[in-house]
Amino acid sequence: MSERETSKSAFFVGYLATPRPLAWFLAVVTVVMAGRGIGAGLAFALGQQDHGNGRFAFDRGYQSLSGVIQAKPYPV
Amino acid sequence: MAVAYRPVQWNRNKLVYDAVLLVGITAYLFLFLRFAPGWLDIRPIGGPELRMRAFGSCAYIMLHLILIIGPLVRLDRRFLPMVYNRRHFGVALFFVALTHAWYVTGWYQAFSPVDKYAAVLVGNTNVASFIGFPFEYLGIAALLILFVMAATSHDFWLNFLGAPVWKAIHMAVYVAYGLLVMHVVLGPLHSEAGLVYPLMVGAGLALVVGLHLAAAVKERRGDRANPSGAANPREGDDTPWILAARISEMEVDRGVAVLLPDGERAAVFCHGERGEKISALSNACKHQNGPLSEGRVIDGCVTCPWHGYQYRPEDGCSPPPFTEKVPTYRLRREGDLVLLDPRALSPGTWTDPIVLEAAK
Repeated sequence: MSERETSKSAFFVGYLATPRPLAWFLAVVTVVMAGRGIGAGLAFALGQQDHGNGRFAFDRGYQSLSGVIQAKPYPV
Repeated sequence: MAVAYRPVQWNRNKLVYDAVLLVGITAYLFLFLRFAPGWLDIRPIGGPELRMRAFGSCAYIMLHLILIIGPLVRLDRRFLPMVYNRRHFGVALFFVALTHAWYVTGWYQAFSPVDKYAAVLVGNTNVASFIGFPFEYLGIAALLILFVMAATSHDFWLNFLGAPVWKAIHMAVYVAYGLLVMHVVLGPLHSEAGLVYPLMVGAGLALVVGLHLAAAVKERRGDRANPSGAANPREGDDTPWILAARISEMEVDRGVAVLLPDGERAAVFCHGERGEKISALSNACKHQNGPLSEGRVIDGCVTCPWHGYQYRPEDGCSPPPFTEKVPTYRLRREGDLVLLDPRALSPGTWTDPIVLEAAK
C-alpha cells in the first residue's frame, strides 16, 4: 500500500481554476488548432477558381456546339 | 447540479472558452473576406458568393474540430477541458452554418419563379442521379440535425430527456458530418478542377476517421489490459465476482474502469484521507454519462472529468444540496485483488468500502 502513488498530474474541473501546467498545454493546443483551422481556411480561400466573367460572348459570332441538352432539373 | 436555476452558469473557464471561439470565428471570416481576395490572382469574386463560401468553409472546419475533440480526449486526458463547453461550440457552428444557408438561398434562388425557400426544395428533384443529386437536400438535412442539437443542447433538455436519449440525439452529429461531406463532394467539389479542395476534404475525413479509429484501438487495448474477468468462486458463494483491480496498482484518489459482463463499466476508486478505502460505482455520470473512472476524488467525492459533477464513493450520492445518484457495486478483497459483484445496486445504495489496514 505504501508503494501506491498519489496522482500529482493536473486535473481540470470547470468551475475551479485551471491548473497552471494544463493551462499552458491548453494555450498551446488552442494556438495550434486555431492556426490549423485558419490555415485550412486560407487554403480554401486561395484555392478558389476563376469562374469566368459571366458575360455572353456576343462578339464571337455564331458557334457550333454538339452534345446533349438536359431538360431536367433545368436546361443545360 | 444547480441549487438555484440559472439558464447558463457562467464561470471564468466558460467565458475564456467562448471568447476563444468568438475570436477564432471572427479571425477566420475576416481573413477569408477581407484579406484573401486581395491575394487571389483571379477575377474578384462577388460579395455574397464570397460570404457563402467563407461561412460554409468555416462551418465545415468547425465541425471537424468538434468531432476530433472526443477522440483526442480518449487519446490524451489533457484535452478534457475542450469537452467542457463543447455545446457552445456546437451552437456557434449551427449559426455559422445557418448564415451560409441564408447567403446561398439569397444568391441562387433570389430570382426563382417561386418563393426562394421553396425553390431550394423544388429546383432540382433529380434524386435518382448520383452526379446530379440535389446536394442542397444533404445540406438542409445536416442543418436540421445541427438545429435539433443546438436547440436541445441546454441542460433543461438533458434533464427532460435523460442522458441516454439526449446523448443518442447528439450522436446524430456523425450523421450530420456524413451528410455534409456528401454535400461538399456533390456540390462545390463537383465543379472543382483543382486539387486543393478535394485534398482538403480528403484530409479532413482522414483526420476524423483516423483519430476515432486510434481512440477505439486504445480503448480496446485498455479493456484487454484490464484485469477484469471471472474470479474463482468461494464455496457456498454464488455471487458472480469478477476481478476488478490490483490494489498495488491503484493510485490514491484515482479510478479504474472495469468492463462488466453486460458491456457496462464500473469505476473502482481508491479514496480516503490516506487512500485507505476502495469503493465502486457506475462509470456513467448522471449528467452526460461522462466516464467517472477518469475523474478524481476531490473533497472526498468522485468528480466527473467532463463537467465536475460529484458523487460520494460509498453511496454514489451527490453531496447535499444536490440530488443526483448513480448505482454502486459491492466489492470484496482477496489479497492484492479487488473483486467486484457486477450486479449494480440501486442508485444511492450505501456499500461498505474495502478498508486497507496499512494505508499510508
